[in-house]
Amino acid sequence: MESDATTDPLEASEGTPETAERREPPPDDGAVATEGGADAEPSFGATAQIEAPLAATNDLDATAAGTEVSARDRSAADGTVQELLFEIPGTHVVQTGAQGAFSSVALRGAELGQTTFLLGDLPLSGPDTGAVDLSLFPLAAFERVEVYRGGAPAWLHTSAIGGVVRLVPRQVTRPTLWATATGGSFGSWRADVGSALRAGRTRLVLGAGADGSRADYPFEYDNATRFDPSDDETRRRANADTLGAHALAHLETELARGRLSAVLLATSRRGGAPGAGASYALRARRNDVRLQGSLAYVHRFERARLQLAAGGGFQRHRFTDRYGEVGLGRQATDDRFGHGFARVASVIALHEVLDLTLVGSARWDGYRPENVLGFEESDSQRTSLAGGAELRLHGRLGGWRFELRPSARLVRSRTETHGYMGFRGEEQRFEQGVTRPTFRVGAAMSPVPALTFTTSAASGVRLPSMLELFGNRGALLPAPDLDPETGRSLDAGAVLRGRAGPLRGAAELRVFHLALDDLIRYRQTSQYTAKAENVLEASVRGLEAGLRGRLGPHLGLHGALTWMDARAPGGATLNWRPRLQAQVQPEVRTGPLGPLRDLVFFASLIHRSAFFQDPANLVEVEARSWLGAGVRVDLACGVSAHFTARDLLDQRGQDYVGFPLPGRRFAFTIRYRMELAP
Amino acid sequence: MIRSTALSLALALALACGDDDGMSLPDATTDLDGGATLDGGGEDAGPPADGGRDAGPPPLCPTDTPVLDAASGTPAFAVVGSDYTSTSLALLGADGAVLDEGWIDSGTTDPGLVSTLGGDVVVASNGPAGTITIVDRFGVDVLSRFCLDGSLVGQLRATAVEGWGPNPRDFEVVDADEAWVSRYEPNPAEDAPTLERGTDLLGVNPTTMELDGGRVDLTVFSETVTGLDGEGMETDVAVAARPDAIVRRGDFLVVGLDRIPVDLFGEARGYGDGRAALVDLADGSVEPIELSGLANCGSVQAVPGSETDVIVACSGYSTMGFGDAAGERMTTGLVRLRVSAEGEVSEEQRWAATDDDDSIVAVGGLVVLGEDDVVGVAPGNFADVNDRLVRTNMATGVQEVVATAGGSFVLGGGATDGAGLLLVPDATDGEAAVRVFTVTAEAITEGTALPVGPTTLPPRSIHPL
Repeated sequence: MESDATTDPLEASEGTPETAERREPPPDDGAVATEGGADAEPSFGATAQIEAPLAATNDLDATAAGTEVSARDRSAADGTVQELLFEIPGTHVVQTGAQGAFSSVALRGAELGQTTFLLGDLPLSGPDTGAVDLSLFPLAAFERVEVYRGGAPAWLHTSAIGGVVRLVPRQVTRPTLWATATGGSFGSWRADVGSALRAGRTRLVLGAGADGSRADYPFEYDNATRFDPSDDETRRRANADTLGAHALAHLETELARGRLSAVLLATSRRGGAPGAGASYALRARRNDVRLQGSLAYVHRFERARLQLAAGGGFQRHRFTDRYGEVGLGRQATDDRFGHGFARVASVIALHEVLDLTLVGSARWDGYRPENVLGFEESDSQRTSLAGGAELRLHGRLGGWRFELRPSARLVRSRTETHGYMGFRGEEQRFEQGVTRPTFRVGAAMSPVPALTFTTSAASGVRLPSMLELFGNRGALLPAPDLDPETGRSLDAGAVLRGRAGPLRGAAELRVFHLALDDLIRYRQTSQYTAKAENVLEASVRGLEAGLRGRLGPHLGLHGALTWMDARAPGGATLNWRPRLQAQVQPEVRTGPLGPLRDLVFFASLIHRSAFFQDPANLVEVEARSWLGAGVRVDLACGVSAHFTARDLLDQRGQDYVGFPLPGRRFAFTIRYRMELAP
Repeated sequence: MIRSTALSLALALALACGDDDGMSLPDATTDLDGGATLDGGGEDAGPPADGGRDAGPPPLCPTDTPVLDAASGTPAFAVVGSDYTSTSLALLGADGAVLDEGWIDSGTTDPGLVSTLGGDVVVASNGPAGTITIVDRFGVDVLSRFCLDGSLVGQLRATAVEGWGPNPRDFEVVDADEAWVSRYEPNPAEDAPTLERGTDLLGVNPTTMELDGGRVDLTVFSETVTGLDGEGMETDVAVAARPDAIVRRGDFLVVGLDRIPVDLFGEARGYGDGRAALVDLADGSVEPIELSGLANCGSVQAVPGSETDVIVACSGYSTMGFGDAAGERMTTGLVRLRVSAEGEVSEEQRWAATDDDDSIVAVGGLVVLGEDDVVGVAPGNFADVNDRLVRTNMATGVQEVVATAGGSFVLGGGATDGAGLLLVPDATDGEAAVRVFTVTAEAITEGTALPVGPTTLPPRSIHPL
């Protein structure tokens, strides 16, 4: 089997801008192929010594359990980021409703808040954002999604316990204009326009879009009387409507010996907050606005690259519940988050078999809450300094190629708040400083170009949030002595990648173990108050497998499977961890067929096994299997039409008790794409 | 999502608190009105109390809806075990022996929009023998009445509208056709129908577990008081009546009232002076029972052996903030009331925490042992003081620490059989059990503790059946 990629070893250790430059447009099956030579624009007569990289499912670090999936040219209509994540092993996607409802992802059995989210190299999440709502991010804004489970590559500069989800902004491959329009069940719709432009050494992607949904899907209403079916009926989800918009700008320009890139992503969403299904809220509303941006410059030296980057973001979250319908009391919050960061990173080729990566960063997070109807929380802020170093030893041992990447990272975080704490009239100041080291060691061995064995061990931390540390001046008390949550992970596996005749693709299989300590939970401290404490530890062991491939020009298949056994001390199964999650999607393409450029048929199956809702393992949420199917028609004039049916068997189900999911639904997308002159 | 998840979990923890008072087994003379007694074997087939009745209605139990296994033996106590997310109900015999470890729990049925039992569950205070009524409170708002043979009498959601959680607190059965459920929360919607306004007692047919259209409006006990805002400045604070426990005395109901802010989790803090409500069952009229100088008086229990007396426990309230023990102490106390057959209420005895600076505030988880003889829980402070079980003589003020727990907020409301057996739930980490005591006039001595229910759901409250 041949390996299908060649990469300069120095380039292979770098981040997205350089590797992205060398990508060909991803095949329609979403598999990412890496091609390219030593430099973006070699001079005449130049030579380069290249070597096939280790077979991997990501470009950043062959020793990492990372998988990339293209977000472009997907066959399904109305695709979402969360739906794409089902295709990646080791992920557990949780949803609370239809389009626009909160959705997030946990990795390898870790907690939702233990996943770091990046926009390119720009951090989207932090200790105070909690689980990131994936429904806020439109798939159309991204080139691909990368997920690193367990220890993440040092370049990403994070100590996440569960791993990293990296959303790579859309990039220019060929100058194009595009527009899409989607309509679907329950009043859902999307519209996007965009352009990918190239002028000389400058590339620019501009995109904008809007989306909305009534989300009034049917669900089974039991009136909370589980023994009395006489009052059960089918109702329509109410107050779940959403309206959102987004805009993306991604600029890259080549300079003399470097590249400048800038990304700006703005998203907004407003709509209803229906609350739990048994007593749902009819008037609670939410409004979320986010703006994220970064500016980066990469300079190429003889044997090194240096990246300077800075960026930041602003988020405003408003939640109005004047009647206390959701059950948290009357609220009219207007919370604002801001963050800024600066980063310096460098990859230095110390020797032909040894590279050194250094990354340093400074970050500031500010939180300014406001609640007109409830307790006014105090402003708080966090400053963090972090530094990391990784050695990459690579070469050959006997006939085997190998790569060894030990790394260490140190983060120092200081959090402070001030305001009226405790009893009225007393202004108090709380602060907490914490310094935590983390490490990662990754190794890969490749006996043949198409096969790589990998193993890694890593540690991670989740710093307590400001809410956990300082409370909210009401029901939640301060706990400034709280320790960070910690995790230690271990994994081993194999990656097979390449082509043999008409068969091409990639497969990965890994086993993993994750030990979690000092998990933070709330405990009652008086009649009406609670306090965060480090009280829980857990252990997760599992297996993950992924496959993406094509057989000739007509058949394609991708799938992912995650099996895990997550336990608390005493043997109880951790709640909200299904033992098995699997996704498979076979696809058939006709190729050119009369006036059609291509005709694609696909089916999909997503299965999630039963899991316990509660720590006591009494409440079991039943398993569900979603069967879908669709067709995509590509016309010669640049128009494509997509029709997709999801949950054909109307299984519905719920990921959280009280938040029913939509059942059978349909979506139709028309896409127009026009290639511009180069 | 994470902020609201954290806050809702914390509030569920906080509201499913250890304020569920202990109870006494119903006195043998406390029969229901009309001469009919509901017990496990069916109604009393003796002559009717009035002259116009037939042989009596058919026995309530068993019903045509078997849903649970029959209770083993003759249960005398129900133990609620919970981690505030899920709940399990164990049944004990009259001697405290475990009959059923988990007669019903949160996983008895598949979950729908809710699980079988939520995280804030109590057993109704004074129910007829042979039945058990489970009140699933905050966030679920469902009352479920079962026969102890496992058949279902019925389930009732304490509201018919969405967007409002009435938070039912107690359920009092008057006779085969009449019962009342207290609804703690006011409905903030200005256009709410009359029957959905909350802060009331809602009429229920206990045989069918359906609303009967009756309502006792208690909003007369809501008012605006002067309290403190977030910066410690005086401000007007709307307090709601917040009816809690219900105890029947003759032809009247005594209803405990908390009278604390409408917006429980808002910034402003204030309280209404202590009060309970006296409801005349004949016409539904309401009269106030003044408990001046005290606050947060929602807990009411019958005095064993008496048909007229109740003890009201006022846990106090501080305008300075949650957890201000010193402030709460100023309005904490116990009051024994006597209700005459004509509905005249007299205050017979009062114990106030302010009577003695050295007194121990132990009015939570109250168990009434006799006239002026109570046992309550003094909560720990998560630092150097753990929960204590304290016996208080309301007349003399003499107090005795009967037992100490291994943590704070781990002792819950216990129960007594009125004949010397006292059971107290202890949720101490690693040592969770039902603690067994023998009660005499002179002393309370502890016996061997009983592990009850799953270890993941420590016992939180005990209720007589």
